[in-house]
Amino acid sequence: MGRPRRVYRQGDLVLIEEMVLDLDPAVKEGEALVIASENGNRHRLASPVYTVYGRRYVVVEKPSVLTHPQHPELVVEPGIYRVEFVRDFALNRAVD
Amino acid sequence: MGEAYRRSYEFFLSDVVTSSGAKKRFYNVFRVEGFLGYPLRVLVAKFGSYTIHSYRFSGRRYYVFSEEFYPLFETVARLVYTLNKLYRRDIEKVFQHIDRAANLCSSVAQCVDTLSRELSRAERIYEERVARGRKALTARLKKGVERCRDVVERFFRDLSNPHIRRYKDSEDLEAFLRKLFSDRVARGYRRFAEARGPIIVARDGIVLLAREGEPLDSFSIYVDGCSASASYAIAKIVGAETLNGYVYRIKWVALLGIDLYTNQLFLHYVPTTLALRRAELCRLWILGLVDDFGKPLYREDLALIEA
Repeated sequence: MGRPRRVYRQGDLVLIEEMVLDLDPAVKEGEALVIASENGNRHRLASPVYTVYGRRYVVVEKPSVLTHPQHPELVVEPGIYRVEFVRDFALNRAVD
Repeated sequence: MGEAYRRSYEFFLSDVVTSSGAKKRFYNVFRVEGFLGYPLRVLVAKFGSYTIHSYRFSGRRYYVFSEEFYPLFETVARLVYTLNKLYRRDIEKVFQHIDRAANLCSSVAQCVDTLSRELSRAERIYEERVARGRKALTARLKKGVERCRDVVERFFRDLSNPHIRRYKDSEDLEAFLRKLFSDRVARGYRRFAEARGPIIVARDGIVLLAREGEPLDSFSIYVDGCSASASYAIAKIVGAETLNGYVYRIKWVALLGIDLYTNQLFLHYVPTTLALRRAELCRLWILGLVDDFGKPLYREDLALIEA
């Protein structure tokens, strides 16, 4: 078995590491991941964000800090992470 | 499971004349047609000489029986349905049972009697098993409430006595939900309440949403499991209808939690297939790391880092 897949969760935001991902069809969305939460605060990660076939990925090249005013900081290790949100069966999709 | 022709069957009483039937002048007869799965195949083999017509269409063979066979096939269908539940979808056992029953009779009327008796017996055994299951489930859920009493008292005090909001109709419910949630979430909860109400929602407190006039005497919310860490506390809750003091229908399963950093309550519904799974596993479903049955979605081990 290889090393474990990293999953980071900060509040409703979930980053799931992709072990293999072809970034050729990727479209760059921005230089940083900024996600507004319901109460107006924002999750921030200073790493470029790409969209691949409608899914968002953040490419972390060096250890970077995921911040949110109400949550402790998380140091995200280098890797490609899929941006997800917690899901709810009643709402039939992610709560974003 | 198995080959399609063995596991599936359907039949119907029909007075629609097919072109094939018309050619044979079957204008004014009721016909019993069956797509012959194994159970019906047993009977067709037994009563094959009674067919009034048979033909091939689209690679299948169709047999046409006279109307007197309808009760026989109907009884077989009901028996198969019940046996399938009784033997927990072990189709081989179902077929063996049908074989045995079919061997005990010779005429159509006798077979209807024999199969009806088998059906009553199978239904009784199945109902007894269901009753035992309901009793065990109710005992388990009541035990869970006791086990998690401390967590509920500390973090979710409203749960034992939630505010009840009655609504007139779906529009009224959605209008209320829009005051608490975004439009999309309000629409989602409205649809969920229409299918599985009464439901609860959590914002600053816990609110039970029930349609006006909907009795709540037979509705209970159980806490089946709980967990607390430095950053959150969660309780797995089960909304269920009870009958004669026992749970007979689980309407929904949800994870009620509190984020201890933001002091914000949260409630996420999970599939009812997770009704008997641990609260922490339900949390992994919410994070998208396990499927609806609690199986991991990723082959690798996971390192979950949270804040």
